[in-house]
Amino acid sequence: MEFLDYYKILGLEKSATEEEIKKAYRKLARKYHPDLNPNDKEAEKKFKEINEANEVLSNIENRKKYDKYGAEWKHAEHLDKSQQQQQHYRGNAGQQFDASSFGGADYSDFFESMFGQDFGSRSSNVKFKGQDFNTELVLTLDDVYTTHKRIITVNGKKIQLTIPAGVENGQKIKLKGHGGAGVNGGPDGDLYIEFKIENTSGFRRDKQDLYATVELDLYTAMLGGEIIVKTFDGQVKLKVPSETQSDTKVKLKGKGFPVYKQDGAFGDLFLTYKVKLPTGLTDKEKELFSELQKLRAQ
Amino acid sequence: MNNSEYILVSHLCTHYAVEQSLLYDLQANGLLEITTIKSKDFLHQDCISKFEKILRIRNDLKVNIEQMDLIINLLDKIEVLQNELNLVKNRLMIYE
Repeated sequence: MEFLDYYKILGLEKSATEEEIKKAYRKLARKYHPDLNPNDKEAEKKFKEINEANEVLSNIENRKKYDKYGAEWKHAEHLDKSQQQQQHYRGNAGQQFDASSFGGADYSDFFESMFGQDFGSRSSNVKFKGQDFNTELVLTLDDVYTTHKRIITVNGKKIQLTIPAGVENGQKIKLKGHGGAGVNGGPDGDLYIEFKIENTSGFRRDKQDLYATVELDLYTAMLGGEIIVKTFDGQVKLKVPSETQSDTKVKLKGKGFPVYKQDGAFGDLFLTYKVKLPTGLTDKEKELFSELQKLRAQ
Repeated sequence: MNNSEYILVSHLCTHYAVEQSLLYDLQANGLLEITTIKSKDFLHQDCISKFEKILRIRNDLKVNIEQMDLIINLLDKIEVLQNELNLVKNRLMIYE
C-alpha cells in the first residue's frame, strides 16, 4: 500500500508542535472539505488524506509510533515485541511478521474509520447518513430521444433506472439510498448521476428545440419546389417557395426533441436554408446565365 | 400536508446527538425551516440532507452559525452558477 507522509500532507516539519498540527489541519480541511468542493474527486481524496494525517499526528501516542516506524506504525507493539524476541533469541532470523494476527488491520484503517462502514475512533454512537456517490452516464442524443430503462453497475450493485426522454446534457438525477452504507445504522447515502450527452446526430439542440442546416440547389431556391428533409425521427416533404433566399429559416412545429417529463410534448425543428451555387458550368450554361444577367440589367 | 414527511426535532436531536438549541439557532439564522404542527416542532425530510451537511461542516471545520450561514449561502450561489454554466455550455454547443 502506498505510504503517505503525514507531515508532508499537512505541510509540516517533523518537529511541528501540537498547535501547528491543529492549525495546519484546520486550514487544509477548510480548503478541501467535500461539502465545499462538490463533485471534486481530487479535493475529496486530499481531504481524506488530511484527516488520516491529522488523526495520527494529533494523537501523541500514535505520533510517536508513526515517527518511529513510519508506514508500519500501527504494528508498533508487535514490532517492539518482535525486536525484544530477536534480542532474546539471537540468531533466530527469518521470523515472519503476520499482520493478520492483529485483526487484519492495515494502513488505511483510519481512512475507513472516517468514511467507511465503521467510523471507528471518530464517533461512538452518532448515526450518520452514508456517503453520497457521484457518477457520470454517457448517452447519445438518440438514447435520450425516448424514455428507456437502463441497468447500470455502481460499486458492484446493479441498478435499473428509467431515463426520461429529453434529459439535458449536464443534468443530474438523485437515486435515494443508492450511495454508501449509513454509519451506525444511519440512512444510506444517495447516488447522483450526471448525464453526459454526446451529439453526433447532425442536429444542434437547445433544450427541446433542434436546429439544422439544409442545402438548397439554386433552381429550387429560385423557382420553388419540393424537397425531402431529415427530421430526428424520419423525413418530411417540404414545399420551398420560389425566390427563397439563403439563410431563410423555417420552423417545423413539433418536430424537435421531446420535452423533459412531458409525455407526448415535443419542441420544434428550425431549418436554415443554404443556397448552393452550381459549379463547373458548361459554356451553354454560362451563355444562358449571361442572358439572364442582361435581362436583369434592363 | 403529509405528516409522515416531517420528523420530530427532538427525535432528530437524539439521532444526531446534538442539542435542540442548535436547530433553533439554525432556524433563527434562516438556515433551516422548522414547522410546528399541533405544538410540536418538526423538520421536513427534504431538509435532512442540508442539516447533515451543516453538521459535517460544523464538526469538521469548527465554524460558528454566522460562518455557517456565509458558507451555505456561498455554496448555494455556486450551485446556481454551476447550473447556469451548464445551460450556457449547452447553448454554446449549438454554435460549435
